[in-house]
Formats: sequence, structure tokens, C-alpha cells
Amino acid sequence: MGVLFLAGLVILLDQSADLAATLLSRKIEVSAPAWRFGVFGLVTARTSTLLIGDVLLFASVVMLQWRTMIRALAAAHLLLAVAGLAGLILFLLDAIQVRGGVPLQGTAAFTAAVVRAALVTGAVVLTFAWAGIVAWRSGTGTPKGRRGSSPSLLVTDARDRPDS
Amino acid sequence: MTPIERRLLPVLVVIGSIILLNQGLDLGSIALGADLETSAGRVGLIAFLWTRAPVLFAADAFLVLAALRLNWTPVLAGLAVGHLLVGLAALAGAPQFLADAGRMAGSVTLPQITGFRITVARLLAMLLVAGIGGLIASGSLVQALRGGRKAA
Repeated sequence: MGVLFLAGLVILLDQSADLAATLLSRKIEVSAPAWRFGVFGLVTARTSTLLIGDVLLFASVVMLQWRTMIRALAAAHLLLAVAGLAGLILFLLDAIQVRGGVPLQGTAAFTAAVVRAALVTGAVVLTFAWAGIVAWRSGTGTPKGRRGSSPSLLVTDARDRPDS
Repeated sequence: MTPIERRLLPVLVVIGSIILLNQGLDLGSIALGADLETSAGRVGLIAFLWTRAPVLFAADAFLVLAALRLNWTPVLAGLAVGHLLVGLAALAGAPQFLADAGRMAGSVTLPQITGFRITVARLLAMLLVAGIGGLIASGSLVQALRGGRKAA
């Protein structure tokens, strides 16, 4: 399971390094809507591979019962969900600005690409928020429903009796 | 199954679905732009599909594993049908792909012919593996469904 964790980590680091190398190879223009739009597209294109790395990390941490790491991953996912939502809003605003410069024959393809990126990012944001909340609850002690249900010395459940 | 697993396995199903959706939309946009009337266009589309195969296999594995662990009958039934359809499509497409590659081979220059042959062999193997694997997986999923119903 430790190997699975490392594999997930390697995938995430490799993809992040590749993304950074691609971004740094060009002129950085944070104030330009077209640049921000392109960066968002680059990140969206890598979503599938990044999600695979993420699943490997999560699965290994859950199997190994590393509660601290589960909480750390939960916090990271909640942060990423908020960052993703902010990025999505900015991306949609940038798309409106960039659309003005797109030639008429390319408008349909541009709109399709924007809808696809927004759809995938929206789904990822919701899933990350959900995974973050579930993992945070799971990483903090015993689940709510089971609290106080430890076996009593006086009262026993019928299912626990050897003759039942 | 631990409570943490029970809570997080549905997330795995959703993540697998998102990956398939993302890749499916990407492949769809490429397929719409490809010239499927020509042999080169069709072979190019299969080659593009091959570049996405590892991610698709991983997403598929996530979905199947999570659905089996959770014993989600509707998801398992959907996956069985999906695997059957993909398997049949891959097997049906293999002869067409081989015919297209044969037509293209005449226009490939001599220094490139070895590379072309290796690529065609790889893609044909992928189609056969996807086809046979899809049918086997579909059968196994149907068996798992029957086993789940009997246990219930």
C-alpha cells in the first residue's frame, strides 16, 4: 500500500512539474485574459491523470488507516474545491472576453471547448468538496452514528448472543 | 468493509465517471473533426484512442472495483452492458482497421515501414485486447450480479 501512495505522489508531482515547465517556457502574463484562459485549459487537459494520482493517494491512505494523512488530504481537497470554484468563475469571465477575438468560423468549437472545460471543472469541484467533507469526518475519531454504542457489560444485543 | 471505505467508495465511482466523461468528450470532439471517409482518418482516430487507453483503463478499473465492493446492482448492470458494447465494437472494428492499414501501407516510404508495421501491430493488439477483455469483463460482471442477487 505504501508503494501505491508513492505511485500516486509521483504521478501528481510529475504532472505538476510538466505543467510548470510548459507554463515557464512561455511568457507569463497574468493580467492577460487569453493567458489565464490558456492556463486553465492546460490544467483541465490534465485533469484525468491528476485524478488518477489523487485516487491512488486517497486509496492507499484509507487502506493504511493514516488518519492524520486522511485529514491533510481532506483539507487539501476542500482548499482545491474553493480554488477550483474561483478559477472556474474567472475562466468563464475570461472566456467571454476572449470570445470577441475568436474568428466567426471557430466560435462553435470555442464554445464547445469552454462548455466541456466548465462541465469537467464543475464536476471536479463538487467531487472534491464532497470527498473533502467525507474524508474530514472519517479522519476525526469515531463516526457520529457509532458514538456511544460500545458494548455494555450489563445489556447485550440479542445478535451478540452465541445461541442466536 | 470499514466505515471510511464505505463513505469514500462512492467518491471513487464519481471520479471514475468524471474521467470517462472528460476523455469521452475529448474523443468525441476529435472524432467529429476527423475525416472518417478516408483510411488515414480512421487509422488516426484509433491511434488517438490508443494514447488515451491507459487513463480509460484506470477509470474503468476504479468504477468496477468500487461498484463491486459496494455491490451497486444498477451500476454493475450498466458496466456489464457498457463492456459488452465496447468489446463488440472493438472486435467489429478490427478487420476494418486492418484493411485501412493495408491500404495505407502502399503509401508509406521504405525507412518508415518498420515503424508503421509495429504501430499497426500495437493498435491491432489493443483492439483485440479491448474486444476480448470487454466480453470477459461483461461476463464476469453478469456473474457478480447473479452472485449478489443470490446472496441477497
